[in-house]
Amino acid sequence: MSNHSALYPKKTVFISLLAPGVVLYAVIALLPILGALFLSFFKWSGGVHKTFIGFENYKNLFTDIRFWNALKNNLIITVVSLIGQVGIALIVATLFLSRSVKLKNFHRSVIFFPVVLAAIIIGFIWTMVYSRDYGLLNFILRSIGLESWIKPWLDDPDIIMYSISAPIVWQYIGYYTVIISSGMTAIPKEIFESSDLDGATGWRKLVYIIYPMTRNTIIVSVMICIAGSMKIFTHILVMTGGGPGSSSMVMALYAYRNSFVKYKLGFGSAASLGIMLISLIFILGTRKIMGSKNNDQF
Amino acid sequence: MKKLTVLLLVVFLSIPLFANGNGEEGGATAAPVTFTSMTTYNKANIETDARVEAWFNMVEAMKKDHPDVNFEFEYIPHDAYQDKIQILAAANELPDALEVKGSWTKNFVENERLLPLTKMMDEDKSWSELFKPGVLKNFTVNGQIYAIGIEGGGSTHIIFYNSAILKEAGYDKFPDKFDDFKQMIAAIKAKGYIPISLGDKSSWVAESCYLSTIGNRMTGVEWTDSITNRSGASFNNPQFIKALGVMAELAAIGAFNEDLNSLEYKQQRTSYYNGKAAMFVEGGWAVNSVVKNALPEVLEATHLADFPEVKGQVGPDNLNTGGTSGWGIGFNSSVSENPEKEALCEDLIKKFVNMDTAVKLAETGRVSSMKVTDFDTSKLHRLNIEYKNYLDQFMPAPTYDLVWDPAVIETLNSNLQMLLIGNITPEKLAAEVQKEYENSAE
Amino acid sequence: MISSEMAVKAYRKTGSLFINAVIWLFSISCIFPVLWLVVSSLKTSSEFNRNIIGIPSSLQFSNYAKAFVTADLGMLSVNSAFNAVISMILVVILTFSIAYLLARFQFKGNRIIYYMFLFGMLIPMHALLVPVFIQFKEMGLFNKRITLIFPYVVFNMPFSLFMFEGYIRGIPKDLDESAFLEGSTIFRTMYTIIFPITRPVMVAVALLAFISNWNEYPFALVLINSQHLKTIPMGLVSFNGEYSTDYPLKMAGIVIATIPIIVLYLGFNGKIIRGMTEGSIKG
Repeated sequence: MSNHSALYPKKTVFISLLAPGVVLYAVIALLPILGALFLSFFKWSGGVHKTFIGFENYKNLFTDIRFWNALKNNLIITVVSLIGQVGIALIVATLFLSRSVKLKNFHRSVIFFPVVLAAIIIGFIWTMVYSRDYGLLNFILRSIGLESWIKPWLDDPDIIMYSISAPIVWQYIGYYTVIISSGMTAIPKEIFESSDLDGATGWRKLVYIIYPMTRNTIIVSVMICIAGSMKIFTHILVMTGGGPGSSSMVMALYAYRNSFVKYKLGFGSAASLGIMLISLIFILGTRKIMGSKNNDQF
Repeated sequence: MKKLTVLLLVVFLSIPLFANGNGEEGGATAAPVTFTSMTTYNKANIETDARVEAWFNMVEAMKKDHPDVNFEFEYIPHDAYQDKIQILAAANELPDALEVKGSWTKNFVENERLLPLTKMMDEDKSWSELFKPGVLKNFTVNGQIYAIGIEGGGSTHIIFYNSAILKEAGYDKFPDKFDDFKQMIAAIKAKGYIPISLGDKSSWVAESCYLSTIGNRMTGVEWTDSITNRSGASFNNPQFIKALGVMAELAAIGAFNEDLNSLEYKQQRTSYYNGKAAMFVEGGWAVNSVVKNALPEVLEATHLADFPEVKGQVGPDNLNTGGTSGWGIGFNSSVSENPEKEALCEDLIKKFVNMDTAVKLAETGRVSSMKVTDFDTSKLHRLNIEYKNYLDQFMPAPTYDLVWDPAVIETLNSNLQMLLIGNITPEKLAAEVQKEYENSAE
Repeated sequence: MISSEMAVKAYRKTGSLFINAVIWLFSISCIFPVLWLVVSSLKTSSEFNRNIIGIPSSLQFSNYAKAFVTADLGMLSVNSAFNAVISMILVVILTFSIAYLLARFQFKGNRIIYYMFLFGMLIPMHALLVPVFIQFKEMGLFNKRITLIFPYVVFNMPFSLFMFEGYIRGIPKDLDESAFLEGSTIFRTMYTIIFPITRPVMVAVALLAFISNWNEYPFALVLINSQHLKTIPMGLVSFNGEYSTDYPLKMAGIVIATIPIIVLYLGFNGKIIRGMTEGSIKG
């Protein structure tokens, strides 16, 4: 519609419809960023005294090995999630395409179910699953004779990030399955029919037709996945609190700890901004690399 | 199904709209005084914990004596309490009365958050003189007292051990030298038991109940105080590093359970209660829990000990952490703006901490902050009496997390978790903590 | 000739068997932990310690009673419901309006608004916990009945907006035009004609918003303090901290806290998934 069509509403209408949502959003989501920016230049322990210290918080932040360690952990989660959540979702969605799958709706609902559970509940369930004496995992391993595989799942810093990633992956497979499935079913039937005529077998159909056509959906999924992995907080808080030591610390938890446990609110603000910056770099970088057909969508 | 759900949602929605009036902070018209407080006293424990009983009796008495005041008493579990209070302090939204940890006092006082109680104590000698000397040390800044604890003088370091398991491993007596202790651990392990059950998920147990004692003995109390007062001591002190080394050694010889960093402090007791672990280490607060929950044969065989002597320690062998009040009740400095509230504060603390409640505490095996001499020992278990004797013999040392800066403690605690799994050396740990210590100097 | 036909059939059959087996494996692994949770919650603590899998000898509903009363789950549910429902309604109304305008018209600021919300979807909200906390304190919104409504609405706006926007784009513009020719105002067109058509997406968005708000923890932890305003996740964490050694009791608490979600899901999962599907296609 052109801007001058008769349908175009008056300015007042526009404002009244847009304003409430946009203003609310700006105040709650965007204003804090400015607030954080301001505070990040101060040393503040929550009381009446604020001391201006310029860029010192940032200097401390970027030289703090624990921050980079936290970033590393976020990256581990990101990679595992990409392979696990998006990757497995791709496989499941592909399987769903097959005509031989029975009870598709049932399966889809069951696999999606963990998505609606609260992060703290996922955290609690899996903490109990990983428990050395009372946990489901060790119980299963013992009963199938794989007792030697038992490890201190949430204690060993070498494997802890992977132990933590498992519940996160488990929770969201269903989410991406639905998104990717919808992308796949959106492919016009004619394309399938013509490829059948060409004699393309199942495998070729998959690789040469389905995947390219769902590319956008996959890109979107990847970006959401990365964004989510950078934000991750509650799961870790509940399962390990960042420990042992700081071996399972993630960036959001790092900012939280520094602000609320160590009384360093100025530093915590700087950390928050640091996290945002890094997340944005990763997400936008990924988008650039993967390219995008529709430039005004994602 | 759908209609029903919608209906239910609408019902839910309307309830809070109607319930909105009561319980909100600051009433509308006549402005009745609202008095808020936050503690870790859980009503569910009222039967088993004399402090909780004292607290809720006080609550009843306050409500009766001041019917026009709107009291709001909140409860938060112990481990979440610290987080919560820090958040509130940062928001300047502390309740009127709150449980204060010794180590927070300095920071709170600097930020002018706490009400000084010295005047109140001076004005009522008959009450204030009942307190044991030095028991309020942790809450005193520049000569002013800022909080009062109902308990005080207990120990934060006790080794609970199962003498039956020790006997099975060939030990009739608890070793008093560290080398023997290590050998005993090996023997216990060989018999298939967990030598020491440790649950350090919240990261304070290892420091509060183990390291503080070992450290104070290695370095002497003067070093600890010097750190607290910032009069020159450094964490790179070789004696302190030796103390860290002791913990690292214990971990290296497999004294602890594998999942020590994913168990909560209450969960560490479970293996002991079931007879699977030979020992666990906690403070006096655990005694009653052992009496209540341990398997009968384990309870029968349970005795108390303290850490064996380590070669090269500077302090005496009966130096154990404790002797002060770890937690006390303090008041928000903002109550001074309202004389009515100040009076309520005084009433509250006197109803909570007095000779009657002190006696009740003593009768149930707890250590009151007041000097209790005559009390009924009939309800005490053998273990309670053993604890009392233990206390009579020990020399108090400051527990680190009750006196040091929270940022420093956080660094120490979380790195200690790593030390216990062999992921950091004592020297490096000390250097890390020292760095934090220097950074947090005002 | 016969053998190859049979071979193909056999191949197809095993293939089909294999595919179904794999999918069943996924489904079971998704539901098993939850089943374990429910079954275990009906055991006594000592029974559980002895055998963590296996049917309880008698159903201990006392765990549920205890959890409900001790954690005060009744009041917490009311609080959570209040926040979740109001936020849900506001999200739908606000984002629909914006989405309609974005989808139908090109105007100055179109891009800005679009990217603003996109940006919001990508930033780690929890990194802003501290500044939001401070801001709310300054604005006097700390620990009030309506405190959590604000962030809860804002969290769900980007996702909801894109869902609506994409879907509306797919609705033929002739509808709008014919409505206009009949003398309809824009408001009427929007709300009485277009809005009902967006039902699949709207239902999905509303339900997902409700669920995510019900489950939210970090902001509730930081922005709410009073006992009578606490939400379910907060109560659950406190409860679990207090009873860390009694697994069945903890599990009972978790199950109770999740029941509303489970009920909603059983009733509406079809709609949620359908709505997401349709919204994603266009988006």
